[in-house]
Amino acid sequence: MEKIIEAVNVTYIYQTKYQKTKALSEVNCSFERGKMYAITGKSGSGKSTFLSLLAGLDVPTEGMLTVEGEDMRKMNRDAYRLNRASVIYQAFHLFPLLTVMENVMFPMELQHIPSKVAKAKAREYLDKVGLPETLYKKRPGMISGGEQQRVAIARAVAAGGEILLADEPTGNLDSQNEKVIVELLCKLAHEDNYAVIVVTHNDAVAAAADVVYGMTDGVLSVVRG
Amino acid sequence: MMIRNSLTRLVRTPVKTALFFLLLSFTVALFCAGGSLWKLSGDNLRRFEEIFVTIGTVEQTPERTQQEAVWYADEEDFRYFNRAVYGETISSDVLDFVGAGYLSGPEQRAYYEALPFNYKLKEDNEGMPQAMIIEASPLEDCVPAGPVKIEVKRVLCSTYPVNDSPIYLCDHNTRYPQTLYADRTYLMALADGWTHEWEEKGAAAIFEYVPMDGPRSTQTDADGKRLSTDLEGTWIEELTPGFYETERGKAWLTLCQDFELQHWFQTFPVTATQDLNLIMAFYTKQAYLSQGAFFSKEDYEQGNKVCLISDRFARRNKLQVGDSLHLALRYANYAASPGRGGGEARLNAEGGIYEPFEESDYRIKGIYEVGVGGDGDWGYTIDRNEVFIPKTSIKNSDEHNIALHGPMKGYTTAFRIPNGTESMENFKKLWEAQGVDHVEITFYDGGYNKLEGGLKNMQTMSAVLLAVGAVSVVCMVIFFCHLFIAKQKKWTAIERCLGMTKGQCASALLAGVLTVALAGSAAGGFAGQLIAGSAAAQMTSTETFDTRFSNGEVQFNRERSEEEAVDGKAEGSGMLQSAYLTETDWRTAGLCSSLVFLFTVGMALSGIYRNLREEPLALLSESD
Repeated sequence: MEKIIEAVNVTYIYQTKYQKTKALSEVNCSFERGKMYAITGKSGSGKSTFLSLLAGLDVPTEGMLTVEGEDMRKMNRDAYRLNRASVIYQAFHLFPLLTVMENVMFPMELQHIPSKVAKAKAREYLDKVGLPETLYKKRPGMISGGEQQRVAIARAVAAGGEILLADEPTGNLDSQNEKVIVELLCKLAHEDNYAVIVVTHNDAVAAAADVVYGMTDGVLSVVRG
Repeated sequence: MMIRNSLTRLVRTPVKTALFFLLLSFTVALFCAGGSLWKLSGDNLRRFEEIFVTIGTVEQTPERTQQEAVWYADEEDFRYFNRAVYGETISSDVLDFVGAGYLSGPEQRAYYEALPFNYKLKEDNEGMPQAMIIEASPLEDCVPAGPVKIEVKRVLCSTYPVNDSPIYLCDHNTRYPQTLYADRTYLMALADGWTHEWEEKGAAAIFEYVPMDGPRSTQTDADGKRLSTDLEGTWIEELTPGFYETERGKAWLTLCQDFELQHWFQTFPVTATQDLNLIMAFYTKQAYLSQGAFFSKEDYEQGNKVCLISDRFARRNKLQVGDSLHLALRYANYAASPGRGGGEARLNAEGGIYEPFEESDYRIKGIYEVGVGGDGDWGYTIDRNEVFIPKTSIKNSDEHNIALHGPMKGYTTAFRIPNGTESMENFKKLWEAQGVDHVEITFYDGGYNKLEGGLKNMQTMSAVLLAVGAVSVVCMVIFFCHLFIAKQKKWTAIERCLGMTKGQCASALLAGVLTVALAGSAAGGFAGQLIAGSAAAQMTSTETFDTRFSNGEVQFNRERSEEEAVDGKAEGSGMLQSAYLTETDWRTAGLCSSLVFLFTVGMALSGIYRNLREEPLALLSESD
C-alpha cells in the first residue's frame, strides 16, 4: 500500500496570551490509501488537534506533515481540503438551511462542477449511503441523526477526495445507525481506496479499523498495527 | 455561487431577513431625516445669517427737557416747545470696549457738505426758498413787531432777483424787536416768511420777510468743543461808513460769497461710512441698489475712491455707473444727518468760508433708489442728493473743518455686531458693565432672533432625531450582524472544512448581509428624505416672522417697483418664507445611507474576521 500522509516528529503547541500548551508531542505515523485508521484516546489527549492538522486547518509547530511527500506547510491547504480530504463530525454539521441534495452538491459546486452533473453525482452518493430519495429535498433538521451522518458522508465523498477524516462519527448515533456508518466507512476504505482516519472513543469503530493508534497526552502510539 | 448560496440563506430565513430590512429601513429613515433636517436648518441659519444684519444705534439721551417760549408775532402770543437739554457731549469712544465684537463701527458719522460745481442738484421747475442779504431802510421809524415796509436799497446776494420794493419785514419771533429808523440804512439777512394774518387789525394777509441768521460760526474742534468766535449770527446791522472794512462787515460779505459758492441752500451732502448697513435706510432696504454694486470689503478696507449716488441725481446729471464724480468736501457735520438737516453755521470761527479739505474724483460704483413709505424719524431718511462714500476713502483729516458737532444720535451713530441672541446679550452685558449713563442703545435685527430661535429648535430636534437614528442604526446593525455573522460561525467552520478559502467564506457572509443592508439603507434614505422634506415644508408654513425692519423681506423685493415694494411690506412674512430653503438635499440622505452601509460593512467585516479566527475543527468538535 502507498503512503498518502506521513507525520514526522509532529509537535503542536497552543499558545495563548498567558500560557503555552503542548497538544501534540513528536508524533510519528503514516496513513495509506485503502485502510481505515482509528485514533483513540481520552478527551483532551490531542486527537482532534491531530485531526485538525491532518485536515490542513493548521500546521504543526514543529516537525513535518506530508501529503504524498509534499510538505503541507507549502501546499494550498484550502485546495487540499476541497479536492483531497474531507471531514465528518460527531454533530454532522450539515448546512441547516440547505436541503439534503444541496448539502451534497455544495463541495462539487465549490469545484465548479456544473449543476446538472453535480446533481447526478449527488444522487449517486446519496444512493450509495442508502438514503431514500424522499429525503433529498428535506432539510437536515427534518431527518434523523443516522440519516444526517449518511448525508455528511455523502457530502464528504462528493468532492471526490482520497482522505476521509472523521471526528467521532458515531458519537450521536444509536447502535443500529452506528453499525451502518461503520460499514460505510469500511467500504469507503476497502472498496473505494480512501484513507479513512477516524478519531473515536467507540470500541466497535476501533475494532473495525485496520490500524489503531492510541493518543495519550499528545503522544501517539500504535495500539494495533 | 457564493452569492447564490448567501441569498438562499436569506430567502430561507424570511422573517429574520424581512425584520432586518424593515428595522434597518426605519432606523436609517430616522437617521437620514435627522441628518437632512439638521443640514437644512444649518443651511437656513447660514443663509439668514447672510441676509440678516444686526445693528445697534446709539443715542445720547437728554439730561432733561426745557420748555422754550417762542414769540409768534401774528398770534401776538408765545408758543411753547420742549427742548432737549444735553449735558456734556459723550464721545462715541465710550463704545470702544473689550469684547464688544463689532463687525463694523462703532461710528459717529459725519456728513460732508461738498461743493456743487456744475452738478445739477434740482429740477429746473423746482423752487428754492427766497433768501437774501440786502441793504434797506424803513419807510418810517418803526418797530417790526408786525409787517413794516422797508425800501430795498441794495441787494448783496439773493436766491431770486428782488424786483419789488418796498417789501414787508417782520421780526416775527422777537417779542420786543429793536426800533428801525427811517433815516438809517441797515444790512439785513432775510428769508421769505409767511403770510401774516393780521386779524386783530382786520387787515388783509400780508406776505412778509423774516430775519435769518447773519454771519455766525458753530465750528468745533475734533473733540466737539465749540471754538470761540465773534460771530453772533445777528440778522441786522446798522450800516455805518466803513462798515464793510470792519471784521464784522467782512464776515457779511464772506457769507454772501458762501451763499453763492454753495448755490444757496442746494445741498450736496456726502456721507462717509464704514458700512452701509449702519445707515438705517440701507439697513431697512428702503434705499436699495438699482444699478451697479454696493461697496465691497476691499473698498472699505483699502479706502477706494468709490461712491453711491441717487438715481435722481444720476438722471439729472446723466451719470452712469463707472462715471466719475468730482467731490470737494468742505466741512463736516457730526450732529445731524443730511435728512434731518444742518444746524451748522456756514462760516468758520474766524469768519471765513470753509475751504475743501479733501478733493478728488470718485468712481460711481452704484446707483440707489429710495422706496416710498419710509416712515419713522426723518433723521433716518436719505437726503435727495446724498452721496455715500467709504469712510476710509477720505485721506485728509477733517479736524479743522468741523462745522458742527453734537451728541450721538440714532441716525449718526451705529455699529454692527454678529447676528444672534447670544451676541446681543453678550454685548448688553459688557455695555452695562461700562456704567455709562445717558446713552441708549437700540438693536435692530430684522426679526433674526425669532427666526434663529425657530431654526435652532429645528436644529435641536433634528440633532435629537439624528442621534436617536444613529444609535438605533448602530444597535440594529450590531444585532443583525450578530445574527447573520457571529451566529454563523459554525456555518463558516463547515465551509472552511469543505475547502472554502477565508475570502470565499467572507464573501458568502458579506453578500447576504450587504444585500439587505444596501436595500435597507436605500429604502431608509429615500423615506428619510421624504420625511425631512415634509417636515421642512410643514415648519415653514407655520412659522411667522416679524418683518419690521426686516432686511430679508426687502431683499426679495429689490427688483420690484416702489409701489409693489410697499405691497410687499404688507406681505413680508410670505416674502421671507420664500427665502427659506425647504428643499432637502438628497446628498445628505445619500451620505447618511452610505455611512450606514459602510458601518454595516465594517461591522460585518469585523464579525467575519472574528469568525475566521476561530479554529474550525475545534469549533465543530464542540457538541451542539
